[in-house]
Amino acid sequence: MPAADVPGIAHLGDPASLEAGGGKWLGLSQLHAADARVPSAFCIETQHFRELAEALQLGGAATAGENDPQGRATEFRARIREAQIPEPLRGEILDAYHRLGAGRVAVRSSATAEDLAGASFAGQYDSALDVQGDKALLDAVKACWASTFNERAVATRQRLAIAESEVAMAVVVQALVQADCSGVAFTRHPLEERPVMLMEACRGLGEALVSGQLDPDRFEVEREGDASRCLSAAQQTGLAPTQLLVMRDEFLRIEAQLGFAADMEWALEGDQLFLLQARPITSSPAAGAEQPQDGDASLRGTPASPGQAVGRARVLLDADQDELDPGDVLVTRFTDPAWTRHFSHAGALVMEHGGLLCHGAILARECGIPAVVGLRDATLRIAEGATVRVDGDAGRVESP
Amino acid sequence: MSLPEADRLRFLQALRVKGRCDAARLAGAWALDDSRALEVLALLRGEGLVEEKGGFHALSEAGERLRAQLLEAERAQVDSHAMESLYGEFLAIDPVFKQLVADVQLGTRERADAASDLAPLHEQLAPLLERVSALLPRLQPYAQRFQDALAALEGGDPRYLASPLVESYHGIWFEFHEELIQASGRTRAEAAAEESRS
Repeated sequence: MPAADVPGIAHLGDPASLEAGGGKWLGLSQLHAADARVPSAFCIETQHFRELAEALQLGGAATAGENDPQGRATEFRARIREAQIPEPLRGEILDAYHRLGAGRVAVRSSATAEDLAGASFAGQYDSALDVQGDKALLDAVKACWASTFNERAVATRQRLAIAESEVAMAVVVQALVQADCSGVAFTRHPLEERPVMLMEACRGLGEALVSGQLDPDRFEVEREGDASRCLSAAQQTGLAPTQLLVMRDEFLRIEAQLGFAADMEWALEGDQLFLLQARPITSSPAAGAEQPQDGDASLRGTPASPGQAVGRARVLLDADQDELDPGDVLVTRFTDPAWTRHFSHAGALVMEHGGLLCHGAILARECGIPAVVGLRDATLRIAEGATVRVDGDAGRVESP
Repeated sequence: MSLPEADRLRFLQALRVKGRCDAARLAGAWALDDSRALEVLALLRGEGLVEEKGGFHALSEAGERLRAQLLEAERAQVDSHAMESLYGEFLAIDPVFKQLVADVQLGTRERADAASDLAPLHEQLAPLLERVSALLPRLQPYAQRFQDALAALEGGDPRYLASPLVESYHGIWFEFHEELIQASGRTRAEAAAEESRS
């Protein structure tokens, strides 16, 4: 394959590294190596970003930018967007694009610092989902490079003391999957020990799902055995149990190849299952809590305020949705100051986000009510009106 | 009499952040005395922007729409780089404050020491408040509010650290945090996700 000879343009099957291809490309390469079906793609490796940065004199960002890092970042973004991609690189990119069929592609940022120090830069760099044509492609590539210096990314790196010089951007160009349906699969339950897989799905290509903007359909599928359960069907993807089992088998096969339980982004085009990304599952059942017995249906989160309470679960997604009766268990995604008044009635707090130091946990301790926070999908998994027992010492929510 | 245009966002946004509340709590957030706060509330009700139920005030649908518009307009005008850096500076001290409160609540720090432990952090916050107020003058009342809460805590009332029943230091901190989240164009969900990652 002649294209493979071009330095700094990588194809699936080529050796991949975080340094050269960034986190996203490395993940795709691993999936490809695990015999997963991934969309055809190529990667413009970080060396080209570095060369351009040098040509545009973006060096010194780490040292000289201390007084006004954001002002400097704005200038860098403008310089990159206005730059001409030099030959021969420009021709090489277009050549690789034409080998993909010159059709609709997704152009994605793949940064090297993304996974450093547990920092997540998810959503902070630009991606263009539906790009077609030579000029649009080159503009999208430059937009990805420029997004290295996005305001939020610069601010996050400052906060986490990641030097600008540690960051380099690769760009992944990927044939666009015409997804009927797409989503995320957790090959193991992220919070419980039960041997089930969780799948989330929405119609079309699932950017809104991945960025948390909508409530997906949710399914629980046994890792072994044939049982599956629909937990939520707000998006009406209509995935049938037989389809779920076929997908499950494929996810299990890839998991075995990868060698770790993973959080996988997938897309379904007709009956073809594409894998878009796979990361090791990082969250796990509350540390220190004893393992649940078989059939234990309790939900686990972070114990954040001590005590136990039994009450009626009130699942509120908006502070003004309703008022609580005294003793009600407030179940919510997160709290902002407008939720404060509910604490004078609540008998306990269960929250999807947050940890020991979040505002909601502070208020719960101040009011002397038990709290379990960081309980993923609590508002979907706890039924409105159900009587629940909240154990703020063990971080458990269960039927009394 | 009508409201100065420039004050509308300040009034509506403070009410939005506080959520449904009584006139006395609002007066503090607005930096007005009680009688003037009642006048402002009457004006806002007259325009259909605020609704009252059982002594509690909240934005009406029209009030919420106008607030969102005004906030968007403010964001278009404000220097977003400066806003990002200020938000970043706040996030650097936010966990320090929350840890202090948690230590007091969990008994690893003496409640009686809370005021003196808080003082150095308050000193760190002051210049940040000044720069935030220069960028967003509607947030000027926060400096006095933090000052008052600290004074009450130093005066021996432990509720002024974090109790939701009074205008506590934590309550004001929570509101200030929310203002920065919204002024920088984030949502609480995004901010919560960012926080739990970093």
